[in-house]
Amino acid sequence: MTSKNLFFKLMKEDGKRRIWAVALASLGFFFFYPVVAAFMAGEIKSYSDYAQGLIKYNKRLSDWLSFHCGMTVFLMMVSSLICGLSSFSFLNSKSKVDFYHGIPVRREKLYVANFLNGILILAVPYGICLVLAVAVGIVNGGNPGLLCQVAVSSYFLHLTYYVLCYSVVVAASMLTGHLVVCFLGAIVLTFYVPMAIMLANAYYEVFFWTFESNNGIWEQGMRISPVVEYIYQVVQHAQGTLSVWDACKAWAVSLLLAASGCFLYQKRPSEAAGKAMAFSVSRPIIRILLAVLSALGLGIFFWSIRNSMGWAIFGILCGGAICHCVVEIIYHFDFKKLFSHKLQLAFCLALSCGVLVVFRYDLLGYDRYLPQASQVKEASVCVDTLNQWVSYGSTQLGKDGEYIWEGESSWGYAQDYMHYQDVENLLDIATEGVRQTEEKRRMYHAQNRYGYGPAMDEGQESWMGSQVKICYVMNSGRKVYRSYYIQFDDSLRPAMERLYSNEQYQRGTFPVLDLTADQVAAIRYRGQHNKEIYLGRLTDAEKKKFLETFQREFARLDMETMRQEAPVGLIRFAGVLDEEAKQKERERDKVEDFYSQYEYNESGGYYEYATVYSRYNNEDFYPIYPSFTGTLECLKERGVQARYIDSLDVREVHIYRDAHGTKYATDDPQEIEKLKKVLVAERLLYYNPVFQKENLEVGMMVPEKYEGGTRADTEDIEYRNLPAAIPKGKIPAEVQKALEQ
Amino acid sequence: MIEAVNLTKKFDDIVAVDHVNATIRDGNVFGLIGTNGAGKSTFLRMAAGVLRPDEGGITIDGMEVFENEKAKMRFFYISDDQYFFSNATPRDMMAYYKAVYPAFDEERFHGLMKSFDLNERRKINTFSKGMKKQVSVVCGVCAGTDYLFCDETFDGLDPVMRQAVKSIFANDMEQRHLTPIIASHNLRELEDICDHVGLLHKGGILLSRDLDEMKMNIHKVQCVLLDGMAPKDLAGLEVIKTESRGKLLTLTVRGEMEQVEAAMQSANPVFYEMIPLSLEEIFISETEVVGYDVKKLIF
Repeated sequence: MTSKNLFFKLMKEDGKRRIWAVALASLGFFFFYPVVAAFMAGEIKSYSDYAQGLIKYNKRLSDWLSFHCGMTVFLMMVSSLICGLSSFSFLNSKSKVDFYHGIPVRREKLYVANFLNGILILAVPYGICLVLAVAVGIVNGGNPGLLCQVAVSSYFLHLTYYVLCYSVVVAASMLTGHLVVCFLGAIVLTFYVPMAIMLANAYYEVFFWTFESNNGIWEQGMRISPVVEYIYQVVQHAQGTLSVWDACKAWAVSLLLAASGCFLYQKRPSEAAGKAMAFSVSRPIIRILLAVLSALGLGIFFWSIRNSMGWAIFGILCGGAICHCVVEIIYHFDFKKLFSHKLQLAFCLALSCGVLVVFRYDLLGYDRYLPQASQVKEASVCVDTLNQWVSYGSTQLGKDGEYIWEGESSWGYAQDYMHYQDVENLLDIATEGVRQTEEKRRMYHAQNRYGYGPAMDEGQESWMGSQVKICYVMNSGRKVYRSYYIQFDDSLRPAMERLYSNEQYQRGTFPVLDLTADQVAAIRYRGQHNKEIYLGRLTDAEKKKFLETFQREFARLDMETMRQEAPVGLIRFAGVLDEEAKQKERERDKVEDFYSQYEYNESGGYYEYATVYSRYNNEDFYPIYPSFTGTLECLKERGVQARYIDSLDVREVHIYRDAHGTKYATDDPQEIEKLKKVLVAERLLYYNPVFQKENLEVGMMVPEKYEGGTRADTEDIEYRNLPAAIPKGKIPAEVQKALEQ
Repeated sequence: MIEAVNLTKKFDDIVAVDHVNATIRDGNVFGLIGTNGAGKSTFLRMAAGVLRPDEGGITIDGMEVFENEKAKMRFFYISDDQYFFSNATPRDMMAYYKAVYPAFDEERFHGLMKSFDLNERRKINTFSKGMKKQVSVVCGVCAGTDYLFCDETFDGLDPVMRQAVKSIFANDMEQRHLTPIIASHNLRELEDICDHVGLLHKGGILLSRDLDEMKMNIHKVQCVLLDGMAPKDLAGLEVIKTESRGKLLTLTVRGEMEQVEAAMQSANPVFYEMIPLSLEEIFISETEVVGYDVKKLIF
């Protein structure tokens, strides 16, 4: 007998045994693909325009057939579980094991035949139904090229991740000897690592106050789970960033898992049939891993409710003991065996308590960590308060033809683009961060860890509070992340000045500094309100001059100047896509109700009354300071009066010390003119976090503007109250006098 | 020839088969007898390559059995709870066995199924326990292997079927030197078919001998001794067991018949008679010797 013949005979015979699974898969896919494709086709008729209906049909059907169809993902996961469990279910029965292991067939042959059948049971009906769905689509006028392409890529990708999930279930089959335990085992193999990573993340977050999550590492860890990896790739596909290399890796991992399964099968004792676990050596390992995870999980749960070590330890003892006992009962199928391994239970509880103590009291000195300057190659740093107004990201054209602002985090941008070399200076700031964190830890219950705290030295006055995130890139290439909530006092002023003026810091913080003139399609200017000024058609040379002037002056801006000056306007160097988006909106405005698309920009509250409504319109603006003489000159050349308060028709000014307290008010034009020279635009201060202003509420009453004049021309005048601010120490004498009364 | 050397198998802390040495010659019917839990099934499962021995090994003509296709091709294993595919008919089972046993005799299968009056197209799960056993035996015989391992296969067969199966075995032994290895505790059924018996007790092998030789070496003597004489006074007799009913003694003794008769005659008893021992009695006697007290179970 040739082995090849026997192999195919075994496959055929196994296929006969599992004909129910083939029928189930065929039925499921039949309703899921050809029937749905026909169902969707019926909707074409509901469109008055047949061509429009066909476009929608193509889109809907291709979405349904594509890899990122969530329902298919769910179907694949359930199928992988069913097929995985059924492929080797004979291993759970003594009589079946006697039968299969008594015949003259080597285990690996049996394994490969059953393993492949588990894939074919799904792959064949899925493939056939997909072909039928495409045929239905084409018959109903669908685009053959598009549908075929989507179906083929979807088929191979779904099959890739089906095999990955299926291989894990098969591995679970080899480790267990009972169907229910195998199901539980598959869940443990699939979700243990993500759960452990989430728990570790929670412990770091809760107990290490300087912990800064490195999403990349956590994400990579989570992707060890086949289900997480599957969903991750589906999301990547939906975003158009799916990597073929990742799919290849999935096949490699599946192959490895399949080989491991085969190895385990060869080693698996036949007498394991009917027992919970096939290998006695794996019993304590899995039990301890589960008990420790659940102990730590319940421990942190109780900690998060009460912030008490007593409750946390109670949680650990309960979580660990319950899980350990449940696992024992499952292992022995006997309730009386729940305390079979008391020493191991004690070990789990002690280990979990030890972990809690290490985290709670930071015995490893995580929060006190400061590297040697010589060990650090470079760093990235993000001072949230200083760059909270900066837009990171770009305008993108979505798949649906709509323009959207694809945002990015400031911290992500800094890590990508910043190569800060002045490590000594950074360590000065980090040292203060460590000191303040230690101070706050001592007063844990009295002080919120995220506050800037009473950690200041006596007599010092804070001028800024901010979260400071640091990523040290060590000489070895390893990255170390820390985050501090720091209250900045005068002692930190030199370090912050040095940081802010550093070119590497600036390049990793302000994207405008890396912009080149050829990327600029238009320049826009905004004052306090909705008025956006389009600076006309500029030649390349003019754009270059504008951009370079601004970049030079912006880079030269230091924190001392920022403390003294308030922005007078905002400028944006818009790209090609920004302008296309704008143009599209203009066209749409002509036909659609403007207010239906009104969107309030929550990020800074600056565009409360903006006539522009899409988010990408409100991004990417940079402040212009009075000291930016070159930029102001360029604006002037284009006819723009930058300091817009000067041009306002202010009828009244109200100044309050507090909401119900003393007030200064004037409608005297001369007084108003004098005040206008002092006042700065309050809402532009969002762009200058270190500007020092008086703690006053200032309002300028300005008549509403209407087409053809002001409301003043009519019987009633309606005013708008524009907020303003007075710089620190510049309150006019008469105002001071009035407020003191 | 099947040879077990130091064969040992443990299930957790239970020693199911404990350093068993045995040889099964070709062309004989080997009866594997023993008490419940003696290790008969475990021994057969190791012989069939289902279980991996913890120590020692079992070979067929020098080939290790475990995970050895070539060695496994030499036997057909009928377990005590033979598995049939769900909803399968005898014909389906035949198709499967035919795929894995190249020498499977399909024609004979059909013939035997007819002889046993079994419907090939009827689902096996509608068969009685005895009918299922018949299907197993038919499949086993038709597989064309040199050895046939039967674990409690005769249990559930009616007397007519038992005889039929025995005659099939006898026929195959003669025609193609089939060697059946039959594990059972139903000693009466083995008595008239086995040539050689292996007696397992608590995982260990008590004896492994030809049945005839065994019968020649153990005897039952019914006698009435002279007044004042006790069984221990019978010189030259190895008395294994003594039962008395009044003056009538029933002795189970070890030794050849001539030796026993000579010893009895020299003791000049009032009366003595040699009574043949059944295999069951031999089994009980031998197991009692090693402490397996049947009376304790009965009373």
